[in-house]
Amino acid sequence: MNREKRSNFTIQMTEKLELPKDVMLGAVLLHITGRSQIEIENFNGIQYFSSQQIILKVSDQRLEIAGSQLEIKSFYYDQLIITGKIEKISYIR
Amino acid sequence: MEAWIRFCKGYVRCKLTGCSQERFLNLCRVNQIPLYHVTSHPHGYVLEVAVKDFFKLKKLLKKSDTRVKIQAKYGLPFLLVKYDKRKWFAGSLLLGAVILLFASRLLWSVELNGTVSHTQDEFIQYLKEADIQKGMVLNDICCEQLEKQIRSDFPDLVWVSVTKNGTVLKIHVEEEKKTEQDAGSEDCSDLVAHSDGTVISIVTRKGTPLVKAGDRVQKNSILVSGCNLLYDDFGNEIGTDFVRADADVVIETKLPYIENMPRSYENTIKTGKEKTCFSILTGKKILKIGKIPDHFNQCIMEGHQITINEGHLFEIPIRIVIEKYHEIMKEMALYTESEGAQIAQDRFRLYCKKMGKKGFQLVDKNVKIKVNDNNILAVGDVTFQYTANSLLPVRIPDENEEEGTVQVWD
Repeated sequence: MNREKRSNFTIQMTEKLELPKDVMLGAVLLHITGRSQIEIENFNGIQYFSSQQIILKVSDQRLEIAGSQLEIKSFYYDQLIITGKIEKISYIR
Repeated sequence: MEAWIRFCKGYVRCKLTGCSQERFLNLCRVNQIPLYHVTSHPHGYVLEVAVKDFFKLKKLLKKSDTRVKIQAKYGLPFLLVKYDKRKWFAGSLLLGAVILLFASRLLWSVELNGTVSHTQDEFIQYLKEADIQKGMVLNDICCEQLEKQIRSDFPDLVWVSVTKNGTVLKIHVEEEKKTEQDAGSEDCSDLVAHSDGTVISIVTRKGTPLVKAGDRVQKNSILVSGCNLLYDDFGNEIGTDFVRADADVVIETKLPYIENMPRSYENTIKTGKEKTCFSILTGKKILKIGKIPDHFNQCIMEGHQITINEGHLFEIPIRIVIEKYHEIMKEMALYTESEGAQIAQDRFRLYCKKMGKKGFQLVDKNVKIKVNDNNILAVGDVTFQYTANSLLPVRIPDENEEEGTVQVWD
């Protein structure tokens, strides 16, 4: 309960003070270039990777990227670049 | 750019197999090991990792229960090992490129155009005194400043242009053109004969003619006077007008021609033995390769010089001299009659050419060539025509001097 209260308070303060959410809330950052490249920051790790589907762990949910010929172009501590034919990006609980 | 940096550091492409391949990827992320081009294959993942980071994977592979196998190696470290025997070649190519790059920023040649009264050596000496010489950095030369300096130090130059073209400094100048009128246009002078002869024709433009066609004249005799006497309507002399005599006076003169040459000469015969030597010149330094053989008693040398990229934008200050030494034997020989006659004729032609440069045109010749046992003799006389153009200055008398006296300066 306290944890939830603290979380709501943080969200409200972030919105009212217009602070960056990726820093304050650890929100994932996506930078999509057309349908061929996507840069992801603020993620926690890879759960599943294949040439048709990539599932990433982000804050308290999961991010699914579906497509074909998917490839991880570069995989750093704080950044991930995925290339290929991207068809769907969705959040999974 | 990043790809180039990765190539310089070197990387390997490996195949990852095993149980928890995703766990391995996350462990790499946590340990800050970057991975590139990770693709999924039926039996595992294929990924690229830097050489330095590859050696850190052992612990992570053990943790995630995976195995990695190198498929290919890329990058400069592997290239250097592969072409270890060729490293000096590559190194010298690189060194040559660096030297060329460095040398292209320096001045190696000075080109001068348009000078007539000033010699090239004079200009090169002037540039040396102005601290401009071969081997200096091109950026240190300010063309505008040099132009101003040359114009102020050489007042007879009407136009100066200094440009940098590659490693060549081009200086183009134009001198003040002096016309005949400029030279003493205000002076009073008489037209005199160059040598003895007969006047063929005379066309006077300025001055008083003292001779007519058909007259015999001697050397330095006045043909056209610069003093014009002025008369009034009654024919009385009222004064003198002083001008620079100007006329076309064609004089014909006959000159004797005698040429005596020995018939014998020293003939050089090549024995057939020869030796080639090379020299490499850079500035004042010479590197000689090869020497004249000791057993050559006498020899003659034929050589030619090659300048790398001469005349082009980037002239390299390296000259290669190729010298060919031929062993010779000398012996005395006699010209044949036909050879002797040919030599005498060539000499006569040369004489006529020299006279032509002085303004004497050949009209007629009467020269006989005799080839004796010991010498070749050419005797006779030659008739030339020339247009008199020698001017003798006349001093204009002052008002205080007595009337009628004119002093002629030598």
